Amino acid sequence: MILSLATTLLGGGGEGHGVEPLFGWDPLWISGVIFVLTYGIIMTEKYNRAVVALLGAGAMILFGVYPNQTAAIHGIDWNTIGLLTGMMVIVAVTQRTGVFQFLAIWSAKKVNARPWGILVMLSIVTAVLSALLDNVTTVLLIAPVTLLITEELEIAPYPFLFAEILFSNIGGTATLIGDPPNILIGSQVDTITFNSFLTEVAPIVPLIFIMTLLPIYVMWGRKLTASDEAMARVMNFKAKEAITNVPLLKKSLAVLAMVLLGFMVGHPLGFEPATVAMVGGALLLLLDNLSRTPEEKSENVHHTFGEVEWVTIFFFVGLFVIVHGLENAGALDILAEKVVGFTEGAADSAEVTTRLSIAVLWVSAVASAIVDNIPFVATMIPTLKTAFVQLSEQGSVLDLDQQHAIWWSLSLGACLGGNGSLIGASANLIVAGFAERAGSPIRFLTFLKHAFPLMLFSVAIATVYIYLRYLV
Amino acid sequence: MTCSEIMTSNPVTVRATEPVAAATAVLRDNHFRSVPVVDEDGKMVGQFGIQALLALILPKAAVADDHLSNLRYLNDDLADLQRRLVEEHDQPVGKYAEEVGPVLHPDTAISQVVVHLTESRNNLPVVDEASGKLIGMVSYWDIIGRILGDKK
Repeated sequence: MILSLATTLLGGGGEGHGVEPLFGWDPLWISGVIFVLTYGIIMTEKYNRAVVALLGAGAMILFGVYPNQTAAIHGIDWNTIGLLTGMMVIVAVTQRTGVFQFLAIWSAKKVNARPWGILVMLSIVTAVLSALLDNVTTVLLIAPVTLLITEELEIAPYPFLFAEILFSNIGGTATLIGDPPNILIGSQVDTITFNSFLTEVAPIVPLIFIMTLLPIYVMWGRKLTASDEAMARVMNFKAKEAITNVPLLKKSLAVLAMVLLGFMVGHPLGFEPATVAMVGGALLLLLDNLSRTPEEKSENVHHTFGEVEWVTIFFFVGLFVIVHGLENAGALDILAEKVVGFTEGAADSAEVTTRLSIAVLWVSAVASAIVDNIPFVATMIPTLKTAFVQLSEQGSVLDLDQQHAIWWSLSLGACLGGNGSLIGASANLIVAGFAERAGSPIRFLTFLKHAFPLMLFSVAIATVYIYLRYLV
Repeated sequence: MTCSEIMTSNPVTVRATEPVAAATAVLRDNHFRSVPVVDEDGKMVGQFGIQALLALILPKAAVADDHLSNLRYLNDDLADLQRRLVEEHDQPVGKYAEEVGPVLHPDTAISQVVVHLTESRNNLPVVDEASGKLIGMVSYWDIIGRILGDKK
């Protein structure tokens, strides 16, 4: 009915105002079409992804897929939103201290400005920061200093930036907060905590790091040379001068340490990651503004909130409403049936787990190389949850360990898969954009040629890990 | 009153293919803030000014990103700045020509010219709309001078 559109537009948003699907169309089809259109348009990258996702979410409500606005809001995972926003606030304040530039310069000088040594050190810094903060922010702050250093060394920046892209995604895989797919998994799967990522996914990350570094050495590392004069210029850098605000640095590091501790001990106490991150963000804002005048406080807080990546936040909000609409309409049941169908003929739940883990790992990896891994994972989580229910109804009950093996496969596949192409993860695009502005563009096909095989290699290592640890 | 009545016709220009060193000399010798850059047909390419020149003596990475506003750790001396500039000396200036404000046309109203001058804080080119060719420049003094009674 056209009335549904009018009712929704005119404020039929409360629980009591049920809206029928527009023209009496099947919500399954409406939601499916909105989903495909939205994801398709996002993939073209012609329009801002947050705007497209919000329009898709709005269409889900206006076309009557949801009975009312409240039902749509139930689909938004506020834990993910809170965690992302809180961490973005903390990083926005911390980055003002110059600590990221300090770390990059300090590490370059530690290896006497030798190019290969710098590449290794910057890779380590990128991986560790990506695990502890988020990989997008990490590359946003490390890539500019990297270009500065390579410029002073008079060597091509590509191998360095290439390594940083790869290791930001590899490092981010290690923790719940490191990469958006992990935030989604950690937030939406109740039995998975910050610590589970540390004990289940993180252990394989150092091996993947080393095994990815070796081909980079063979391809470029052994040939990297710089003149003594150029290396002397980098050695002449004064790392300490990069720190612009020591008191704020101390406050930031203290809050960051508390937040990381909070992630580790919070879950048993009933505190979700969003609570920890938001409290940490608010506390750091308080500490950052203690000695300022009221006007300065207001301006500074306003500025900090302005640095939150709202495009990402609203992208998530839109995606959640779209995926939940798909779920409500029963479309994910069909997708889940396909997943379950893949396990047909399996002898027992162990074989089901093996088949699903390997399939999820590889499909996620290849899909994440082609499309943004955030919408992919946002759709996969409810699909897999539905598949687990369908499997148990068919007598193939997966226990928690078996379910977790599949979730870890999704995490490793989606995070590592992001390395497959320049559009595979947000961090890749940020480095590419910056490199282009600085006059050293990264070509799509060149990156694909180097990165895709390395991505497959890392996923192969992950496959062996998942198999040996969970499937035998 | 329109732009064509106050502009300076036949302004000093540099060709896009001329080296940075030549354009720098034009800026220095004339004490210009910027100089218009044109192609071989006289079409406007952009302007090369003090801001672009200063950017050339910094590392490219610093200019490309506002996250590198603090460069104290570079520990540079004059020789370092000179080295960066010398590296760019032979590059064609067209590579660094940029749009520093809106393009004016001969029939742009004088009040609108003042608005654009205020916003861009730079001399502005006057371009023939049909051919895209540079036909003049308008500076602050073109307007202020006329108001104060200076003869054109």
